[in-house]
Amino acid sequence: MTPDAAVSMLNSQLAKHGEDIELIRTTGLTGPQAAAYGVICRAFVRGYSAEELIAGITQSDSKVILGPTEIEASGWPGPETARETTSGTPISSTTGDIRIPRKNDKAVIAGRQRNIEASVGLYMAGVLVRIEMRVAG
Amino acid sequence: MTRNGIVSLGDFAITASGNYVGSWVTGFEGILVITAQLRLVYGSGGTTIKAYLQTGLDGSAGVDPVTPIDIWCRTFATASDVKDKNFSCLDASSDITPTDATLTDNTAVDGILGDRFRLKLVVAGTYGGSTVLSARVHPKQ
Repeated sequence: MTPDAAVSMLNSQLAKHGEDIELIRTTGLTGPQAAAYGVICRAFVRGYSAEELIAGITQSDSKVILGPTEIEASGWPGPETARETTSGTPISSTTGDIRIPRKNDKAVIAGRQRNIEASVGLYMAGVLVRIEMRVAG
Repeated sequence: MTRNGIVSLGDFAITASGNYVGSWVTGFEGILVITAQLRLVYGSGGTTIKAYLQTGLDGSAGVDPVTPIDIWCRTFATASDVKDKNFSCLDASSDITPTDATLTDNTAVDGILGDRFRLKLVVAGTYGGSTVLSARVHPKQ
């Protein structure tokens, strides 16, 4: 299976059986002055089974599975930003794959804003094909 | 043009002095008009922030432009502020020499729209208190 085929299969299943959620990244202050940028994505949302309730996961948490398609199309959460000294010398930093939601991003699911507690990207041959998140709240 | 609606050119969390450079956002092929907003939410400290909206005409797929072109320089200091501006490629423009983060403060170059845009900040002083400058654009064909 190629990465493109994997993404296509996931998108097909999400289209039939998923629901729309919104991912929101907020920068800086909270509240009405916050800089927020969102994207609507198709996702599977389900609860955790009893066997999955290990340390840190509660029964009110949800597991969210989504693909990268909508995130890549929208450019969420915005472009990468780099730092330079005033003379133009790059200041190195490691930010990881910016397409992967990070802790404290928000997911609006069925009208309720929930906090993203953890997320991971799954790659096939170096291509992002799937994102899994744990949301709470 | 593959971009629709409001497009983010970045939310820059500003701390130390220096340059803050957003990566190029592509997908603006064939645009006729672009409306831009720069919004500063000020926290504390700092001296000045010069925000340069830039476009490019000599990039290609996977290759950044060699020649960034300043089309707007907007300065901010130590207060929250919002500024909007519209740019049209239908306006006739006289010859310009492209600048890279050196356009005269609070001026704009109209009539030059490439296929990609980015924001570049030149920050003087140390800002704190969650100071953030946000850039959004709305392209239209």
